[in-house]
Amino acid sequence: MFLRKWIAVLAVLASIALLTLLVVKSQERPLDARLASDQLAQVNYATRLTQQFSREIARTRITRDTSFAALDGTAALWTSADERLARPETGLAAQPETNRTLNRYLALAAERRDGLAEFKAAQLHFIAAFARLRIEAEHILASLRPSDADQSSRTQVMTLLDELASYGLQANPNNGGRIYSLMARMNGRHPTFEQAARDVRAAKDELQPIADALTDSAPVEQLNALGALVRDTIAVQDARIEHYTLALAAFAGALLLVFSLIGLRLRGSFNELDGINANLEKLVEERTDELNRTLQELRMQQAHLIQSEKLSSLGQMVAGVAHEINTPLGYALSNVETVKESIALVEAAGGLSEDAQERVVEADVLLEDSMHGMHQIDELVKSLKNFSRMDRSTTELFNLNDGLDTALKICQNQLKGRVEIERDFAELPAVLCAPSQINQVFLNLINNGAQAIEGTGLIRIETRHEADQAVIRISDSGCGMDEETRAHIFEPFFTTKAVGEGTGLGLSIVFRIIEDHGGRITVDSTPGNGSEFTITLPVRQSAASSPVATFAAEPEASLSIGSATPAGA
Amino acid sequence: MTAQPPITVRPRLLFVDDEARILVSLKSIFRTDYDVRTANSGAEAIEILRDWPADVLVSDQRMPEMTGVDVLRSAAAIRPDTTRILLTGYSDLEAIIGSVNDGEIFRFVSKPWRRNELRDTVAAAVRTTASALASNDPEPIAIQSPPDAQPAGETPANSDQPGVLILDADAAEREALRHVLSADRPTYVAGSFYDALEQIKTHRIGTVITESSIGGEPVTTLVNGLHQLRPGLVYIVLTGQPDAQHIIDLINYGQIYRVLRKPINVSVLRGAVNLAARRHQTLERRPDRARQLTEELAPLPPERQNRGLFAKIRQFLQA
Ligand SMILES: Nc1ncnc2c1ncn2[C@@H]1O[C@H](COP(=O)(O)OP(=O)(O)OP(=O)(O)O)[C@@H](O)[C@H]1O
Ligand SMILES: [Mg+2]
Repeated sequence: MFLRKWIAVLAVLASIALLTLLVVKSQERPLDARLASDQLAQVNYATRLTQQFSREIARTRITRDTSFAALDGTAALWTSADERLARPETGLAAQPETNRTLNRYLALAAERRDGLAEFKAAQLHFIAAFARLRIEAEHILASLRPSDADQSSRTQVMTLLDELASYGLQANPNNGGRIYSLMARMNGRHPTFEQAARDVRAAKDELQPIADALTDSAPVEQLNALGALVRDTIAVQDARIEHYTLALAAFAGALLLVFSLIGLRLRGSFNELDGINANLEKLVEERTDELNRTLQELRMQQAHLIQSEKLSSLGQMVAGVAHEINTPLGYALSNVETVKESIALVEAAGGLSEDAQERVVEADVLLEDSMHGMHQIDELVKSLKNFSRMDRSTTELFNLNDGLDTALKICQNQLKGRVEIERDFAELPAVLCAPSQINQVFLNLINNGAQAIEGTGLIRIETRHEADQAVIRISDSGCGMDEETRAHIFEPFFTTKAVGEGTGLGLSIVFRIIEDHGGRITVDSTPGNGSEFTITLPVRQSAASSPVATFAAEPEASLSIGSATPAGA
Repeated sequence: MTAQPPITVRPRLLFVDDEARILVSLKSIFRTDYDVRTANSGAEAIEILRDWPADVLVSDQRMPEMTGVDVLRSAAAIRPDTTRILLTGYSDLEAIIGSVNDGEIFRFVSKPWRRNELRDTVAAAVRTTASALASNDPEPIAIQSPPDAQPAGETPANSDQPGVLILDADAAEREALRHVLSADRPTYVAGSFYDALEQIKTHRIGTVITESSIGGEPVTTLVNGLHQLRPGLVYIVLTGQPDAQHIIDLINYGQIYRVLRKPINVSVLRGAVNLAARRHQTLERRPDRARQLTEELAPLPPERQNRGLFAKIRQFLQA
């Protein structure tokens, strides 16, 4: 792991170094290019000056300029150009081959310029010889008469002059021959002229190689070679830079590829990681859900157990209480009735004093009240019995409105004088249900409503028959609930009431019972504005009762045993 | 225990309750018109009954040692003609069913009682006893002939015999019951109240075996109405999930003969049906007594009357 990390780091460092190198190498070009083009420019300049120098030499010979100003100027420019070429900054000396060529050129150029003085002298000599020839020719021409013989001499002299003039400039293959034949034809008639012609020719012959040496193509050739070398160097450098650029491009491409691959792999890993994460999350969620469900189920079961425990102990208590109350109530009520009857008999018998008569009337009223009180007790016990309905867990057709009234009667104590009840009952069909459970639902909801009301308030109970459903709405003007509370109210053991005041079971059992009956319960509540619970029960539903087997034993078997007897009898 | 001289032949009432004040109170109501004796326990009541043929026995249910049903059962053995009533503050389901099957109870009265209602009930009970005594044909009592020992098919199936009507909403169950019973006597089936009325109209039926509820509707109203249509019919109620109040109603308003809890033991059922057939025979021989029994049924409270069914039964009666 550690090693792999180091290798990775090294690889990254190496690739960065290589990249830098390639970038630097491929960036060399502008500098060298400027130098190379500078070199080329200087080489060209020198070439031009070399050629200029040759042209000036030729011009000087034609114009017979004796000041040599243009020639000297050109030579000076050439010298400075050569000096610049030779300077180390120019960089031509840097490379051995260029250096060699450069030096060869510089030597040749210097040689040319050194030969300038000799050329000048030869030129001046030639000019002077020619000038003498002209004077001699004029002499001859002046001495000649316009005779035919003279005329031919004149032509001879003139032709010789022309020939010599062109010979002096540029000897052509026939020049020399023609000059010799002309001179032979003169045959010593004009010895000075002939001498002067010979001098011109000699001067020319002396000048010609000097001029030729100064104007030969050797320096230009060297310069050309130098230029070629520079261009070669540039080409080589170009090639190298191109190479580097190519390498750079290739390397960059390779790096890009590597990075893409790494990216791809990273993406793959991330995707994989994401997938694993998502999976993990899903798994955790599923597990949590499952646990929650189990917990919820357990709570439900516990609630159910507690509830049935509560109910059965309530039922037992009610049974005991009913018996224990009804026994004394039985004789008390009966006795009061008997006493009332006796008093009526006594009164009817008459003969009572006024005072006694008054007392008898009073006693009758008091006994009437006692009976009223005892009937109330009886009613309460009946309601309790009715509510616990110990032996009435069977499903039957039940009037929900009656159930609501029963629940209201039981709650009366909580409501009396404090909570006003508004009943809005519609005609409901009898609903097949377990009345004891449905009664409990109503009681719980009315209780909660009453508990939500602080001081005085209103509970409205509405029943409706909508489609094939019985709808019961129980709303209160109590404190209402916030979203948070509302989300939890159907959970077992959820309560906002103080310890001992609420178990938090009420609504969870309500929910369970309604669910068992194939119905629905919803709540609508605003904090401070009261709550409304809506129960919907299907009017027709399959009986919630579990089917009970008709026969204890297998009927066929019992029958065959039973019917064997009469067959034998 | 001073025996009353039989100068004035007053009906004899025996009250049993472990609370003495109840006895005092009851005595105060009845002593002027009846020959009243009281017992503080079941054992004491049985002692009294041995040599004092009470017309009516009124017992509490919850008592130490001997319960009301025990007292009723013993009393029925000793004095089958004594009409038996339970007067109790609370009674559990077992006791109620026992009071029907073992005690052949006449009426089930709750404490606190209404003085005048109790007077009426006791008067009706006395009349019932009187009509029973007027015949020399004592009725068979279940406890004398245990169901298992009852020879099945004692009366072979022939069209001469009154038949059995099975009223059950569940067709399969109906047929199973018919299968079990049809070997002994003609058996008819009905799935609804109206079917039942049709069958009763067209066939000779002595015993009605019915579910306690048909389609969620208790059969109390039907049984009560049928008593008036056919006074001699004997009722056996089958129930899967018994409801105490429901059975009390069937006793008071329907004078049912037996209550059988599901799952039903076939031989118990056949025994019960045979007993019912015999009782029907007795009642058939004594139509006055049958009518008497019908008259002594507690009046059905108006809210329990199913108007449509009542109208149908009345229409039936007139047809
Ligand atoms: N009508 C209502 N108005 C305002 N809040 C209500 C109402 N009904 C229920 N609640 C809220 O729902 C919670 C749960 O109610 P539930 O009936 O399940 O339990 P409880 O009333 O607290 O206790 P228990 O019913 O066991 O005595 C209550 O504590 C209360 O916060
Ligand atoms: Mg509550």
